[in-house]
Amino acid sequence: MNWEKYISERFYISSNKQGKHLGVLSMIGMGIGCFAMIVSISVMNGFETMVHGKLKGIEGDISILGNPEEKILNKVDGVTEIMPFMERKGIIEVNDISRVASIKAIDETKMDRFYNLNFIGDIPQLGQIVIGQDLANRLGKGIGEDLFAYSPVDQTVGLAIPHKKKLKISGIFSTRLLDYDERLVFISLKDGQSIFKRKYKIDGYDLMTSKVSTNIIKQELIKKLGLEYPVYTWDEKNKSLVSAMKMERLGTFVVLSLIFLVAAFNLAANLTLISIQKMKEVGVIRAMGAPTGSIYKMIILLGYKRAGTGLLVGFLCGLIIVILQNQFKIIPLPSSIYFIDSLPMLLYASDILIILIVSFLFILVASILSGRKLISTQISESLQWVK
Amino acid sequence: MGKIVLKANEICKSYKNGVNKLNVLNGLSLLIEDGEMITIMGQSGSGKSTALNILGTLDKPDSGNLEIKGIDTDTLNNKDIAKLRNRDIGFIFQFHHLLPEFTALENVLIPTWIKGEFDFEAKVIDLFQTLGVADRIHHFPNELSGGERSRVATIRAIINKPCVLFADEPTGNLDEKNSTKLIDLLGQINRDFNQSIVITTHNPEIASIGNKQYKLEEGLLNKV
Repeated sequence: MNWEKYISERFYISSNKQGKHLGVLSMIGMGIGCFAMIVSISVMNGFETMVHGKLKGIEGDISILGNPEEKILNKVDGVTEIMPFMERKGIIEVNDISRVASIKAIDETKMDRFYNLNFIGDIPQLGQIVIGQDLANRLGKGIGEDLFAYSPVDQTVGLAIPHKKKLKISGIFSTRLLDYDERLVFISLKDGQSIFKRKYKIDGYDLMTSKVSTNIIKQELIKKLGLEYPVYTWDEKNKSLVSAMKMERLGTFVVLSLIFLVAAFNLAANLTLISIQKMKEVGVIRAMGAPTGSIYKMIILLGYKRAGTGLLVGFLCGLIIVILQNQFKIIPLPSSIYFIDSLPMLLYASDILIILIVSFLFILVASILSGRKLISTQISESLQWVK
Repeated sequence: MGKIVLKANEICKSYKNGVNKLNVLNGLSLLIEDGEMITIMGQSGSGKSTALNILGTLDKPDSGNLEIKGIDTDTLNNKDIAKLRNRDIGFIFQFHHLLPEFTALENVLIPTWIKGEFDFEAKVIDLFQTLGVADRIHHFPNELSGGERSRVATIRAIINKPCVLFADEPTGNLDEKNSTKLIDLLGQINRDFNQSIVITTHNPEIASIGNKQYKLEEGLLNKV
């Protein structure tokens, strides 16, 4: 028999009669804290996953620089798609307007499978180019119109004048992510090899991977290829973006923890009040030989009973919101501003665990703080306590 | 000479009230043997409750030494003192101090729960019958009369078979009839269970039931 729980429950019932409103406020506080934490963290996760998905659709999960044998890459577990590429900064020119862009030459036969670009038009065949929506707007050009592309960086002809290649716009993509729509263009690998005169016919490979961790695959690639070929995962290629998202996530977590902290103070005040009300009763139980640990256990159980209900309700409400949003998209976003049409929400088991641990930790600390008065008072004093 | 269950030696206790210091106990010494009935008489404010609190480990002395069943309480940590209190010391308070949230039966069972024993119910019901409160077993303290409360508090105090039972002015809150009943009951417990009992009182008639009778004067126990 858990006698501490039994006594704590009786104290809970009698304290409810005396301090019901304060108890309800404690519950609400903890509930709101938990709810806000779940919703915010799931939104952060949702955006993060969405951004990752978009980036993956443009750059793949892993990039290898250099010219290793493609068949070696095929043998690595978890690699699902391989896209050879050449990439250089170059100029896109139409009449008097010119723009700097990253010209990426790719194997056009794999473009459909590899990229997820929200793309209209056709994949670029020989003599064709696919450009981003923003670049198209700035150049004032659309599908079927011509432009010139050249790379002054690594190739000159005659009097240091780069070779301009006339290309027809075969498609326009719109990622709405960072500045990709303005700075990235795709051409076929053959066109790339004519614009960029290089020793090797490709600069590297973008890889798509299965659900296996990209870091594990990266290690496997390094093991197979050696250190001669640099290997980057998507988060290494986008370090600043990833660290910004991590900071944002941490900031959100800390700020929302403050809601919990305030709720925990409220709980501590409530439990202290109950402790003072029950000083004499606890004194009697201590006189009967209850050890300090049991008294703490009682007050902690009381704390969990008080705040736990609110916590559970807040947790369930948060969870329901996340599920409803994923199923029915109840919170829409203007797709003209964002690259998505509804608020993305995603909750990982690890986040739930962290939120629950933080919440329970706050309740534990609040309960221990309020129990200190009970323990520090001499039993003889407690027995004479006047309510 | 019976087995010594409690030995208090040169116990001193004082309280500070601002700059004033009030010496309550000035070297109190007491020896309690197995099966003894000791009464301590004293005026109100003479320090009877303080003495009992210290002898019962509810309070700490400023100096002096207390041994219960040969164990020096100074050498024990809080957990061990609590265990000692649970197993070897019983209390009957003047205001009974029954927990209002629990029935009479539950109040009595709490010391056994703390001890880790959860099959005492049948034995407790027998005790309730012996003490004539069997019909009040599931009643809450506020549904009991003063006499019934004191009897329930007595059962609670002896349920773990303590080596010494302290009763701090147990009749202070009772009418004459119930006072007599309670004192008779304590006498019966002393005889039937060979229970060592220490009773504090300011009533000379009650004090006279002790095998050993003391008077607490100026912080010292003087044998009557």
